Amino acid sequence: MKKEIVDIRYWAKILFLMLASFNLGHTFEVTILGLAFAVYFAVIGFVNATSRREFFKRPSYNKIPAYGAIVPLALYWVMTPGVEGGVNPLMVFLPGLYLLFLAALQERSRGNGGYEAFVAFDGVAVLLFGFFMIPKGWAPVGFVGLLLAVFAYSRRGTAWYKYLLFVLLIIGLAGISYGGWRYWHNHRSQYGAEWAAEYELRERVMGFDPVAVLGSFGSNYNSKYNDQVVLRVWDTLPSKYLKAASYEKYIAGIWKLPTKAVAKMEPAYYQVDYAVFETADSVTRMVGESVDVVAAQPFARQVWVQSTLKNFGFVFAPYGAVGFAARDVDSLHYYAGGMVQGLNSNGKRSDWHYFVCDGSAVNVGGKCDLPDSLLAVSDGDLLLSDRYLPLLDSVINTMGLRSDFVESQEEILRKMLAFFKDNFTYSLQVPGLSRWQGSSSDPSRDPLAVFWRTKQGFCEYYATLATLTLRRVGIPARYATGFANPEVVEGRPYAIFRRKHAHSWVEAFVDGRWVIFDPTPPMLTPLGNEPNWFAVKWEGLQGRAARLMHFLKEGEWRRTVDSWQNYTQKITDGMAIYVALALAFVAFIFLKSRNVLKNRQKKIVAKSNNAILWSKKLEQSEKELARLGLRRDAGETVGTFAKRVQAYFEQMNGDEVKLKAQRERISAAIKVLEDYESCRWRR
Amino acid sequence: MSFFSWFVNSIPRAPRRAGLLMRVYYLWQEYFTPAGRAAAALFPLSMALGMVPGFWAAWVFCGLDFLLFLGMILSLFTSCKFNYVSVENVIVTPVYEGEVAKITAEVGVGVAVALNAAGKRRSAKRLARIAKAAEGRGFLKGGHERLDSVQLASYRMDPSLSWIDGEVATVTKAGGLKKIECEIQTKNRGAYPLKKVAVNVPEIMGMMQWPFPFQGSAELLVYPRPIAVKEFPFLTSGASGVVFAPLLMPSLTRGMNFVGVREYREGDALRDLHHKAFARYGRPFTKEFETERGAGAILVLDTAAPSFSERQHLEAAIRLTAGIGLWLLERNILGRFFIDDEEISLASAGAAEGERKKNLMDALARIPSANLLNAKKPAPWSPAARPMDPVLRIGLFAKEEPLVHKHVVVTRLKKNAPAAVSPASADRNYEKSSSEKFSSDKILYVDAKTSGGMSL
Repeated sequence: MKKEIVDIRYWAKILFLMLASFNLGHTFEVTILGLAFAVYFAVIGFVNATSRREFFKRPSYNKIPAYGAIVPLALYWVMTPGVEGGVNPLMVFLPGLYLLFLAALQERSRGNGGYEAFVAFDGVAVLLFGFFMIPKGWAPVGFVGLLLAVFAYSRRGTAWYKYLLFVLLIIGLAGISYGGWRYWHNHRSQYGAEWAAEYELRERVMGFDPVAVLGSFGSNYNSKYNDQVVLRVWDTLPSKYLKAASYEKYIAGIWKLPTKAVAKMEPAYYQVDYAVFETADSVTRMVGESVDVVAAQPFARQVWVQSTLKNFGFVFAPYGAVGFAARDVDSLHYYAGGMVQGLNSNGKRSDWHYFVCDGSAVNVGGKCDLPDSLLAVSDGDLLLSDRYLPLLDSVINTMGLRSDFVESQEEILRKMLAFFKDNFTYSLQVPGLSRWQGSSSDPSRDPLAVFWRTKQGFCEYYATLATLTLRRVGIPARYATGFANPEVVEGRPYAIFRRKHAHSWVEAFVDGRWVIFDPTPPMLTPLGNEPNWFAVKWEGLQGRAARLMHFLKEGEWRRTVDSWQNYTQKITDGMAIYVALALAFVAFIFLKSRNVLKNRQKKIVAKSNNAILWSKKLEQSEKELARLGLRRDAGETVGTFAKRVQAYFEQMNGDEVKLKAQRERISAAIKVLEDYESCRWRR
Repeated sequence: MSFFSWFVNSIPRAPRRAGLLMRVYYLWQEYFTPAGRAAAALFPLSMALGMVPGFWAAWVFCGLDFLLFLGMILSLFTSCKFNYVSVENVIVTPVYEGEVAKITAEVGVGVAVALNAAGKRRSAKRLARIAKAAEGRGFLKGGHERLDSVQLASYRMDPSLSWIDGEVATVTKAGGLKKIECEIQTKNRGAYPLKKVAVNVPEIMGMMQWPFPFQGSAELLVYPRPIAVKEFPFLTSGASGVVFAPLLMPSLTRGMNFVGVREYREGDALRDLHHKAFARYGRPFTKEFETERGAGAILVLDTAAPSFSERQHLEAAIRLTAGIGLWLLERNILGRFFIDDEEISLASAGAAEGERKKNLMDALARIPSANLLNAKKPAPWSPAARPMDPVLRIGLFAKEEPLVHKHVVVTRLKKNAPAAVSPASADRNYEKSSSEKFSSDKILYVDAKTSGGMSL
């Protein structure tokens, strides 16, 4: 019969488990829970060492609570909100609590379905989880806990000096490891630069800086990451252009943002974690309607954009977007032309939504039109540096854009487009251009001059030259960057923009309205390969999984959970719940012990009652039989007596007269005797 | 047993030949104690936790854990492998399926017989040194005088067996060979080779251990649970039972040599009633005489099972064979026993009943269990020599056999049918019964789900 070895190591293990559970409770400020588990371990430890020392006496391990507990904890884990600049402690506490629960279950039935390995794993893991952001001065507790665990499982009967040698060995090894780490720490800069550059390339979309260097999209087109998905726009019919920024001032190969925003947007309302910003009051909702009605029939369509990379704080949106929803921000800046900035102020990647109005049906009374103040032409839209005037004049001459040759502003655009198409070729390289040539003071070495000379380049060069040329002929124009030509797949509920879809174009104010003017001639060879069947399916799966997670983590349904969390928080903060729990516990103990006592008494009483009853019955039937002259001999068992009576009874069968009177009495007596034999000693 | 559970249990749980993954698993099982497994598994966990912002304590733990294992590997070689431990005389007792089997071994530390334990892996030079030491003083130099907490274990077994992590013992040099036990929980019938019976010596932290293997071979036999046969009127019923009837009539086979007195059993001649014993105890007793008769009935277990629906009942058929075989052996009327065409030698007729029972059960334990992919094809029963005695076949389907006198078919009966059915009612309950071919007394359908005792 296998049983527990109860010695100092056993008690060390129990102590360790108690310490681990108390520590977990202390770290996550649920000390009472930690104490409850510690008490449980103490009780289980005592019971397992005494009345349940033999393994078979312990309750068998029940898998249903062990696996079942995952469900509520995992749900709670998934819906745990994130926190700024770190991890919500609940994310660590919940798995720790589950492991603690498992350790308790395993230790309770260890040897009868529970295993030592799991107790050890769960116990040490709980201790470890309790050291998330170690409370000050608490480190020695962990050290003591680990020592207890190591002692509990160490080999029995080993001389102490061997442990000393082992500790010395560990110290030596630790010294060597620490030295190695210090060396790496002091010399890591040698290896770091390359790695950092690679990291930058992989994790950020290039070319959308507040200060945009001409030609920086080149890394999006040429790098090995050019097929990387940057944005997933959850719209089946997305706009062709998704704008990030429009720039104002060009000098020496660098575009700069406008210095002044036209509006600072404040949150109008909140959608769970997202603050909604509007271009006009109530434009994303119906005016004067209740929240429920709006939820059922929204005024403007809301589109979720998932951003897989860091993007310098621009809220990419199509032209005419009337609202934006973003997380972790308290304001956004709206620049003329629909550029919105201010995302990711905390340096974290973040998703956003934009609101658009579809068609004229919903645009009742022009509610969806952007206010004129947001569209007005500013001085910056005609800004030109003097050093470019000679170059631009020669461009105007060559293209034939002088006012005496053209009839309308529209014709200027048409002519320019035709000229680029006929005389320029699309190329991912501008021959004879090195990266920082723009800073040169020699105007002939300016990237634009080189581009004009060689007649080769990509979108950034075309758009820049076109913008400046239009400004020179008096048409207000802006240089815009963003993504164009989304990838749409039949049956996929969203469109994607890959890194290679980065694009720049021109916004021109022609005939009293802003138009998109894209001077870049078409590419003859496509960038990268078409994605294969598997890649398309895989992307579909990834996108939908992201959408599901977005719904789980940030969906409207979270509001109910938040209120529930507030409610439970309120309850756990109060004293009443603990009093109730304590009362329930006391009541449980009281009922349990009362039942045990009562049952024990009942059993004894029942047993003696049973004995009295049967001896009475036996006496009665023996009396009956004695009248017929059948007596039980001294030493004769009831069984043999019953057989003897039975034989006598069968013998009498012929004698009908005698039998008539006695049949019933004898058979009843035999029955009692047989019952006595079979039932009297039964427990 | 339902078809589903049979199907699920028939899926092999381990590869036939151990590949790389299985070898890694062996390493994990044999060289780590439960606590060691926990500590090793905590290493990757703490690495993952270290990636959580603010959880730097996990990195510290990860480092400590790594250092602990570095130290332990060194400790393993200096404190465990360093010893001479021998494992001798491994004895394994056969058990019925579902019971706990016990393994006993004699373990010595530093004893001369350690030559065996020294095994293959040591160099010739070292072996010579050990041999020399063994000849001279009977003890080996080096190693510890006393080993605490050694444990007998069995590894690399069939997945249906599990070694129960048991008690630890102390072995000393002075104490010589010491008997140590361990237990194995069994589940299914079968003959299982115990590939690695070993004595574990843990290193000082109790997290890693060195297994010193037994060099010989050991086998664990797990017997089928016999279905208790209470009565067997079918054997002698009808025209086909005529050949079996004399076997159960001691009057026809009774010899002159008195053997002893035993309790009266159905079919015993009244003339041999032991009246004194009857009078004394109130129950009938009979005098027993040595039998003088031929070989007795021939029992044939037909394991052919072409379809899944039949294969799932093979275990039931084996259990029933065990029950009927024991019933026949008790009456001393089991002449020969066949598994398919192969005759199983049950020792001579004069041999002790216990030995014959053991041989019967051994043979049943060794029948390979029904396989998902391959099955034995049905073929006419053709023993090497034509049998002279009445033949009783136990099979999984009805079949015309010229040599067989009676068939017991183990199959799934329709609902509401009695567990064992009389031949007359068999046709009602079994649709596929080819009643035209068989006279109703020749074939008996038995429900495969029967587990307790039954009357046939």
